[in-house]
Amino acid sequence: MSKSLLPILAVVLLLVPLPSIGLAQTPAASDVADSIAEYRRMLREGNPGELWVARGKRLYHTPRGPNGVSLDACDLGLGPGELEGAFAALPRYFEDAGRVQDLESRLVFCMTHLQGFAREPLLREAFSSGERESDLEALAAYVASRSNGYPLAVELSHPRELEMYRIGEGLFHRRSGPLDLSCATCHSREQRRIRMHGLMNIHNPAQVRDVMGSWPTYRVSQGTVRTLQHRMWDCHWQMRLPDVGYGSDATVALILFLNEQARGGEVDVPGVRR
Amino acid sequence: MSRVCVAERCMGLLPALLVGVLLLALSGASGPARGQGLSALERQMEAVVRDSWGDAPGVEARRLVQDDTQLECSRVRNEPGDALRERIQKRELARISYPEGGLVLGDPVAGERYAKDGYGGRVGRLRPDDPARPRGGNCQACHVLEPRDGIGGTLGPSLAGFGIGLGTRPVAVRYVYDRIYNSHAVNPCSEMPRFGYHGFLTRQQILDIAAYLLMPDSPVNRIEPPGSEPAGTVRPLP
Repeated sequence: MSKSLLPILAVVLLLVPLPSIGLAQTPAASDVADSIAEYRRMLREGNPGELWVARGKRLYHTPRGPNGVSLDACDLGLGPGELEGAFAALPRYFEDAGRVQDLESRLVFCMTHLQGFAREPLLREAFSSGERESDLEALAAYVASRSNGYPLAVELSHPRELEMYRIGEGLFHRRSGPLDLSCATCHSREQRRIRMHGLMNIHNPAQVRDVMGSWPTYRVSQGTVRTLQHRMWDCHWQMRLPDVGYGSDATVALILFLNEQARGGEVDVPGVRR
Repeated sequence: MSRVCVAERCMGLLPALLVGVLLLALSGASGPARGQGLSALERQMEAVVRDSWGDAPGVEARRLVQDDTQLECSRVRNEPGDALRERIQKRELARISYPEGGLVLGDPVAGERYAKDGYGGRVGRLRPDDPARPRGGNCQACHVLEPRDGIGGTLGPSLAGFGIGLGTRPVAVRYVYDRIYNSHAVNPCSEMPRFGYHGFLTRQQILDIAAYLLMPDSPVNRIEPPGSEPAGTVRPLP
């Protein structure tokens, strides 16, 4: 599908009427959850996120960057060029990088080391904004989609992975900032909402599996595919904290912690979310 | 279950982990602010935080440094024992500042605006809020505010009908003011932000919100006639 169709498709999708959520009366939480599930099911039949997957596939296998090579030699943990199921086992420790990396920090590593792209512009433009597309969003959607049907299964066998897991767990509960918030403030109880939006409960494995298995996801409210790194940035931004570094250790540690809680959840991406 | 499996794997690798932790501790990763008194894991966490927000300008990065209460409540996952409760409560009570003219209920209409407005306080390069625009308290993000409020959050208790029974007595005003200014002074390791302590809301804004919550003719306390909509929980005096 041509690029010029994207905005049109996005507009059409935004016009799909939401199942009416009456604001005049307090809706039962389960009704809201049901109608959102129904809305998602309707959208999935023509998930616009597939356009990002297609673009990511093209980008991944095309020679690009100063070195004029594709990403086919990128090792995402299962060996160079092995994409099937690779995302489902990330984050993991990479010998060549000397650190634990999630999908996106690994992609940045391959784009800089193999293709010769400069790191700073990649990080600066990692999130699409308005008319500017992001290659990383498309690449992440594509690579993650190659794990569809695989269960989330981080290895946690390397000492650095265990260390990062513990750091991630600690950071999840670490309160800071002008609102005294931690991730746990919003995500450690059942059936809680922030305004109308349901919140995942870290202690409910079914919910964590559903969430972690569905990112990258097409976000209807933003008209684009967003990645887990964006989700990490967004939460910290809402917590009134400064921009967290793209692919930074804090984000990787949190994603590792979350994916361990989501162990066994099936990857099904791109998802569709509000 | 997953935690157990992590622990099991951890046992096998304990020596390697310990070496790693020791190396990190020796490499001077301890923080400048509160280097002492932190566990090895906490020192690792602080090093990761400093590194992961390394690009943030100093004035923003300061938000990431934990104060005593944030650190202590994080450690106990917000469930302090009696001794810690007492210590935090005493300390946070002393951190409340009261207006010169005493606690006089403010403007309930302005209070309603602040209670519902979620604007303000966001920083960063990507999508900062305008610091010149007044901040709201965003109470509605976590609380149902009124009997007819269909969009309030449920992280905190419903405040529908909150002022019924409490009235506008000085003790009620003081309670609400303290609660919003510094919730830990009322309930140590509360999950509610300390709006006054952090200067997120002004003392006057807090008095305006108190008026919105307590005044009998406020929409918070206007219970619909029987048969229409059930009223929210009415909270008793503490």
